[in-house]
Parts: sequence; structure tokens; C-alpha cells
Amino acid sequence: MSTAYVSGRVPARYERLVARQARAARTSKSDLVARYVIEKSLETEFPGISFRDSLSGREAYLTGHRVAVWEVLAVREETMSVEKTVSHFRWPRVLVARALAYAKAFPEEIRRSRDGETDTAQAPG
Amino acid sequence: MPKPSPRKSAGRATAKLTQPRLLADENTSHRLISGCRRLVAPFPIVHIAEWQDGSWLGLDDAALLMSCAEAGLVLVAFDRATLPWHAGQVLRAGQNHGGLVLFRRSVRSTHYGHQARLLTEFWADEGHAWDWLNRVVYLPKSTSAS
Repeated sequence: MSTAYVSGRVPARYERLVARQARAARTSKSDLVARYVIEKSLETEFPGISFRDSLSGREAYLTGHRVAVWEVLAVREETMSVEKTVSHFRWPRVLVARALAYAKAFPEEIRRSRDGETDTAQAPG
Repeated sequence: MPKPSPRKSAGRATAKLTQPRLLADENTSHRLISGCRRLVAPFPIVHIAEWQDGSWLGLDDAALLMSCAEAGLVLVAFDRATLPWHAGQVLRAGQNHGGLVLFRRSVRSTHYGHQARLLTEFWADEGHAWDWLNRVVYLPKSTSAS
């Protein structure tokens, strides 16, 4: 994947805050800033989508809910119907539509999240 | 002291019976709840969207697991790798979780009747009597001896 350079000035207190968060996350400040730029721009582009930690890395999910985008897609694939997916979650249709729109825009990312959550060895009884 | 009226006693008994012991996570459907109640009425399960006016929907895994421990609730969810991982993190941090019932990956998200049968049968046979603190169970249970 090609990359590009983004820079910007912020008040010093935010630089200190990001530096502290990078240390806590055991990553570099530039990697953390890059993640913030990517995720915030995506949250703006796809309202209702946020990001959280998961075993497979950062994961897109529905803001204010506990359901990942890949889980909405999985139900949509099982039911083969948006209406049945809406009924499954008992959500407003717009929430399902937002998740599916994100999944359509980033199919590889969603596949990786899904694989990371479901492809590990079967748990013992 | 006057005896309590039979009607009021019956009301209290019903309330006690229906006190939720199981909290269905948001990746399960409300149809699991209705399926359980069709099989066993009353069945002590509530969906997270109905619990505390839905205020727990915004909790992350660790906060939800610890809140369940405080409320004496066992969390019912699909087996996604991150949730049991967070349960382990909660334990390593010296906190408790209230127990987890996880549907194995062989159980499809939309097979509500199958999920309801697995859960109600397990709960009636074993689960209702257990101390659930920090316990994790997968359904269907493994057929091999463990």
C-alpha cells in the first residue's frame, strides 16, 4: 500500500497527550497519529462507525453498540436479506445500512477482522 | 402479624423466578430471548438492549464483564475471540467477571431455535445451580471428556 505524508501543528498539550498515549500503547507517536488521522477521517466519512481494539487489531463497529461491522455483514450473508438483518438486531434500518456501506468500502479489512475473531482453534468444552 | 395474602406471595414468587440470571449480548438476537421463553416460561434471560433501559449497550467488553459480575449476571454471546480474551484480561487485573456462556462457531447466528434449545437445556440440567463467577462455558458442550 502506498503511503503519503500528513503534517499539522497542534497546541503543545496535545503533543504531550499523544506522546503519553503512544508510550502506553507501546507504539511510536507517528504511528499513533497516523492511526488517529485514518480513523477520525473514516468516522467522519462513515457516520455511526467507530473503532476499537480486538485480537486481530483495530476493528470497526457501530457507535454506541457492541456489534462489529463484520458481525452485521455475517448476519446479512446468513439471512440474505437486509430486512431480516434489521429484524435480527431490532435496529433502525439506517444502522444496518451504515455497517454494510462500510463493509462494502473496506472488504479486506472486514474479512481480516472476521477471520481474526472466528478462525482461531475451536475452544474446549 | 397478619398472614401475607396468597395473591401477594404468588406475585413475589413470580418476581423472584423471573429475576434475570443471564444477559444476552447484542450480537445475539431478541429472537433468542423469545425462543427461550417459548420453551421455558419464565426463563431468566434478558437482552442487553432491554436491561437497564439499554444503558449497558455502550459498555466495552471489560466494563460489561465486570458490570455483569456486580449484578450477578452471566453473559450469553457468540464465541468471538476477543470476548474470552477480555475475560482473561479482567481476571489478570484482579477483577471478576460474572461468567460467560458462548455459542460455538458451529452455531449459526440466525438459528434461534437451536440456540434457545442449547441454552435452556444446559441451564435446566446444570447451569442454574453453578457458581458462575469467572466461569466460561461453550455450547454445545464438548462431547469429549474434559
